[in-house]
Amino acid sequence: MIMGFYVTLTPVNLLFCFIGVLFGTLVGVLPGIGPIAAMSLLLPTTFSLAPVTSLIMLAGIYYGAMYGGSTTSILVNIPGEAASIVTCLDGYQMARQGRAGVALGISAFGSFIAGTLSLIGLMFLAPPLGEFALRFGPPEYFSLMFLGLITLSFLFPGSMLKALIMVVFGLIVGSIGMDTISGIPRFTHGVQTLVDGVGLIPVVMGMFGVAEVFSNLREGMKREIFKTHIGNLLPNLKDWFESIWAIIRGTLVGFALGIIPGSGPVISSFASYAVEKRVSRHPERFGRGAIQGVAGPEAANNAAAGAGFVPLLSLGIPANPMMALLVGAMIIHGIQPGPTLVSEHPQVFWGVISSMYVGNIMLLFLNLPLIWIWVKVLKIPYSILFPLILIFCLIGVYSINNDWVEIMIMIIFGILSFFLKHLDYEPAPFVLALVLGPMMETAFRQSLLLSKGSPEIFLTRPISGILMGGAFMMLVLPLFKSARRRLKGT
Amino acid sequence: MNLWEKITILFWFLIAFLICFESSKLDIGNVANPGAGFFPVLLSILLGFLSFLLFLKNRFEKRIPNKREKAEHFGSWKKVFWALCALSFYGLFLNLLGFLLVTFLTMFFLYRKMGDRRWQFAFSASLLTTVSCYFVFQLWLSANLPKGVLGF
Repeated sequence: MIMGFYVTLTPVNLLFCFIGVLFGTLVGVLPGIGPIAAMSLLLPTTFSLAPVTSLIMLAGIYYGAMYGGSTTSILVNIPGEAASIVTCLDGYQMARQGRAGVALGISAFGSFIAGTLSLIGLMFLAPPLGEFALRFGPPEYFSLMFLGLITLSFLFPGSMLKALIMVVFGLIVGSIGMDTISGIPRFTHGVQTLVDGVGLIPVVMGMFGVAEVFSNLREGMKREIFKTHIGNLLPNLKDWFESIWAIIRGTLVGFALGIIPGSGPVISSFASYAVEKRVSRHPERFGRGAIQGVAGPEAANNAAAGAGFVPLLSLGIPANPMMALLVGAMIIHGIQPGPTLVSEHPQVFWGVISSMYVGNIMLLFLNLPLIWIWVKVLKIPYSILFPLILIFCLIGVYSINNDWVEIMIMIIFGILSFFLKHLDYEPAPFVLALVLGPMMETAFRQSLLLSKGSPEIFLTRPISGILMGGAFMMLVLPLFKSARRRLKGT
Repeated sequence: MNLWEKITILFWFLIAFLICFESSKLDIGNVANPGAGFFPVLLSILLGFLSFLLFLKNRFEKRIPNKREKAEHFGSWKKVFWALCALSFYGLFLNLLGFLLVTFLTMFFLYRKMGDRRWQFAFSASLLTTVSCYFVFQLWLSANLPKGVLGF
C-alpha cells in the first residue's frame, strides 16, 4: 500500500486523478451522458499516458460520477446517472422542504465514508482472492462469468427474460471477428474492421451516449431546478444520528453486491433503499424526505463502485460494464488483468487502489464547496449540450483506429438501443455479455476439451458446481414466484 | 401484444436464424472438440428459444393497456431522424471532406436546425467547437484526423 501511495502521489498521477474525478463529477451532474460513455470518450486520450496514470483517471471518472449524480437528483429530480435514481425519491423532497443543503451534505459525506470503507475491504480482499483464483480453471471461469450474467439479468429492474435475450445477443455480437482458438474469421463478410471484433467503445458510445441523446431529443429535456437557497451543507448532530446507521448498512449492502459480477452501483442503490425502508421504524416517511433514503443508497452506490474493483483486479473479470471498459484499457496498455496482476504489476494494482483514497478526498472538496458551480452547470440548456455530446462521441470513436466504419457501428447500435430501451430492453446486460463473450467461449471450449465432451465438468468440480448452482437458482426463482402468484390469484 | 413487441420478437427470431445459418458454414466440430461454429450455434438456438418464451409470455399474459401504448409509441420522430442524418453525414463524408469542414457543418446543423439557435450563435459555437476539437485531438493527442478536399 505504501508503494501505491508512492505511485499515486506523483504530480502527473495526482493531476490525472483530479482530472478524472472532476470530469466524473461533471458527467454525474449532467443528465444525458453517463460514466460509461464518459470513460469511453476519454479512453482514446489515455493511449499516450502510462498505464497506471490512465487507469487512475478512468477509475476517477467512474466513482466521481457516483458523487456527482446525487446533485442533480436532489436539485432537479432528474438522476445524473442511473445509480442516483433512488436518490430522487427522498432527496428532491428534502430540497422542497428547504433541506437541499443537508441532503447534498449527507450524500457527499456518506459517499466518502462508504468509498473509504470499501477501499479497505478491497485492500484486504483482493490479494487473497487473487491467490484463491489461481485454483480456477476453465470450468470455474466459465461458471463465474455465467453466474455474473445471470445475476445481472436477475437483479436488473424489469423483465428477466428480456435481460437474458440481451445477454445472448451480446454473446452473439461478441463472437463476431476472428475465433481466438482456430483463427478463422466469423461473420465478418469481408469487412476488415470486424476482423478484430465489434469494438467495445463504438458500441458503448452508441448505446449509452447516442441513444441517450436520441431519447432526450424525443422526450424534450425540460429541467426545472428547484429554486431554493442551498443553505448549510454540514449535517447537524441530529442528521448524523439519523443517518449514520443507514450509511453503514448501505456500505455493507453496496460492497457485498458490488463484488458479485453482474451487480453494481445501480442494483446496490435500489437494494439499500429497500433495506432502509424495511428496517425503518417510520417507513411511511420514505418518499417524503427521509434522510435515510438519501444516505443509504448514496453510500451503497459508492461502496459498490469500490467493490467492483475486487473481481477486476483479482480475477480479471469485470463486475459491470464500467469495469469492462477498464479491462479494455488494461489490455490496450499491455496489462493482463487477473490473479497474477498483483505479482506482475504491483505498482498498477496498489497505485489504482491508493489513488481511490486520494480521489475520495478530492471529491469531498469538489462536491461540497463547489456546489454552486455544479448548479450553474445544470442550468446549461440541453440544446447547447447535446451537439457537444454527439460530436465528442463521433470524434472519440474515429480517433481510436481512424476508421469511419466504427462511426457507423456506433450509429447502428445507437439506433438499436434507442428502440430497444423503449421496449424495456436494457443495454447493460448486452455490454457485459459483449465483453465476457470471447472469454466465456474460450473457457467453455477448453472445458469441453478437458472433459472430452462431458458437460458434467461444470457441475462436478466443486467451485464450478457451487457457482452453477447459484446461477440455476436465480433462473428458477422467478418461475416459482410466478407460479405462486398464479396460485394465489386462483 | 402490441405491434412493436411483435416486430422485436420477429427481429430476434431473424437474428437467431441468420446466426445459425452462418455458423453452419463454419466448422462446428463436436462436443469433445468444439469448432469455431459450435458456440454461435448454441447461442442462436438459445436466442430462438428465449424469443419463443417471450412470444408465449406476451401472448397469454393479461396486460393493462396504458396511455403510452395508445399514443404514438415513440413520440417525436423528427428530431431523432435529423440527429441520425447528421451523424450519418459525419461518418460518410468525414474522409472525403475532412475533419474541419464536416465537423463545422454538422455542428452548425445541430445548433441551428435542432437546437433552434440563431444563426450567429450557431456559426460562432460551431467554429469554436471545431477549432477546440482540432487543437485537442489533432495537435495535442495526435489523432491524425482526415484532411479531406481542403488539404488541412
